[in-house]
Amino acid sequence: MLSFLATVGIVSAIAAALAGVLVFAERFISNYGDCTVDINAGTRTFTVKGGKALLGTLVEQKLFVPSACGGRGTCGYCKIKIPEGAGPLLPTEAPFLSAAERAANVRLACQVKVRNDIKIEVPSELLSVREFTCTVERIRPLTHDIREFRFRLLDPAEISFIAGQYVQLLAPVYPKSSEEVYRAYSIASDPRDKKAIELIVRLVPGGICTTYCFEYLKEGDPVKFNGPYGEFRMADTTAPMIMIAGGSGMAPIKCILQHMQNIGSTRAACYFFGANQVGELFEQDWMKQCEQILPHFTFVPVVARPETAWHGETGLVTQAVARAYTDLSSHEAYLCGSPGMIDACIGVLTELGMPQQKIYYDKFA
Amino acid sequence: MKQAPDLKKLEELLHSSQIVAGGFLGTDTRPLPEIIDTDAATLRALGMTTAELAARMERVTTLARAGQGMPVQIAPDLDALVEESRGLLVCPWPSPERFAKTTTTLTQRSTGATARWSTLSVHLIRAHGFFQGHGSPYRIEPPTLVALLTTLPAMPTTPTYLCQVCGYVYDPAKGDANAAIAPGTAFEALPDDWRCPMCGAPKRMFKKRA
Repeated sequence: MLSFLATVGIVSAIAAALAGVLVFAERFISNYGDCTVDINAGTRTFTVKGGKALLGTLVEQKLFVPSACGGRGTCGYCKIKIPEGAGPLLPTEAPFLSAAERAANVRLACQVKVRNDIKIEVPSELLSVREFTCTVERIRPLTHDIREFRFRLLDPAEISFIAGQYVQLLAPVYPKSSEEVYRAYSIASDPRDKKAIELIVRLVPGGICTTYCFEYLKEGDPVKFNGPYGEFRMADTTAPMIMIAGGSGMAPIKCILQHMQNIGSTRAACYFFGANQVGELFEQDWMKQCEQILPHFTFVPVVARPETAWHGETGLVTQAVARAYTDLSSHEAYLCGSPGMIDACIGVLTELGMPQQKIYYDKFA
Repeated sequence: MKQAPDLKKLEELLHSSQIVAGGFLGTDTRPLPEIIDTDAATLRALGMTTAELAARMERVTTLARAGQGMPVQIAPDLDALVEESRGLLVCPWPSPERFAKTTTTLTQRSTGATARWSTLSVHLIRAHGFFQGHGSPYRIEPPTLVALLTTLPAMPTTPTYLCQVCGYVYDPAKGDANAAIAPGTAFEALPDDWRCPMCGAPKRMFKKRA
């Protein structure tokens, strides 16, 4: 009995001593000192005390590398290029990276620890992304499953963005979701209105963020988003435009139309809005008014299978476009919708003579 | 079951709402290996492989995608609808691919039997034999899926052509009766002024399908 107790005591003492050595080592020996993080070949640099994961280090510097899992290495969203200083590829990163990505030095920011000077490359727009807190000013139903959300900015109090850009809206933890998630929505409001933004959101069945917006968000609630992001915008030319977007895809198009009104654009533009049924049409009055303001703008709603009396275009948007044009070699196109719709439109537009590089579409997925 | 690096961590992730609302395990309390092995045994008894199932599911999705959000009749007794949302999902195992939020719903007209899948759920079936737990919104019972997909017509041996305007598919094996084009007429052999029987689009609007 006594020798048993003595053995237990000795093993415990050894374990405690080893733990003590580890604590000592972590505090005094694994001190990586000052490390310089160089972003985009010197565009921005900062120095931090090493030892932490790169993702957290960047977020502390207000650089919002996308992440959907809070840095736990389960979402694969935080991929960035690290040409120098990342150390060897970790087994926790490997499953998320294809061979091509590895060859290009793409790493997971949440797994790479800053232990020495490090050089990273991020999309340049990330450097001007801010985190905004705001409050829900108004929620307006547009169809049975689409709503417009207007957020009044608190801090920062103003936002500058280019018509066509999007924000990443934060859905907090709520009864149906145990994690914070970010989801992208195009800004639909007037770019001149810097104190608020409006989003057009469609309820996706089972969607984490849209369920939050539809079932939990109320006027007056606090909301956070990051932005602005995105390269989708009106090209600076005088070419006539075709716009194709249905449902919530209207958001960046409506934004661009307001920008055109603001600058007094006289460009020819035709917006084909596709819907399955007449009941899915919305903002028709706004579009009719836009036709009055912009001298060469036409709005063409296209209903695939009208369920009630309908005197406008029918069928798919691609059919309406094919009926309306024979030669699009001088036009530009702006598309916002599902990949399936975009593919079909690109096929039709290129067949009608539009150069592929003149077809712009929202790629934030 | 292909061994995941950490089974416990994987099960926790599958139960959670980190990737999709409601997770992948529904109300199923069985351990993950048991869920996978039980479905694998069912599938073996039906004489189907996950590879063949996944290939057919993807073919249905490709056929129905041309409908641009409207249902497409892909066989005399089968209707399919593809709905797409923005954003990408990741595989919980994990894997380097990202999966579009494309949902396909396949329905058999005569029986009303239906199955619904996403690009991610197809990957989970093909790569991991995982049909999801009972009660998960995207679980499909293997027998239902097999029954629906065995009625899918075989891939045409000669390439078909897709009308990019309306989604109509010209199948050389069938020809075009309305325009007196006999079955067996290759697309290239169609007259230059032949038009899509559905929407009237000219021949150049057609794209060859792989």
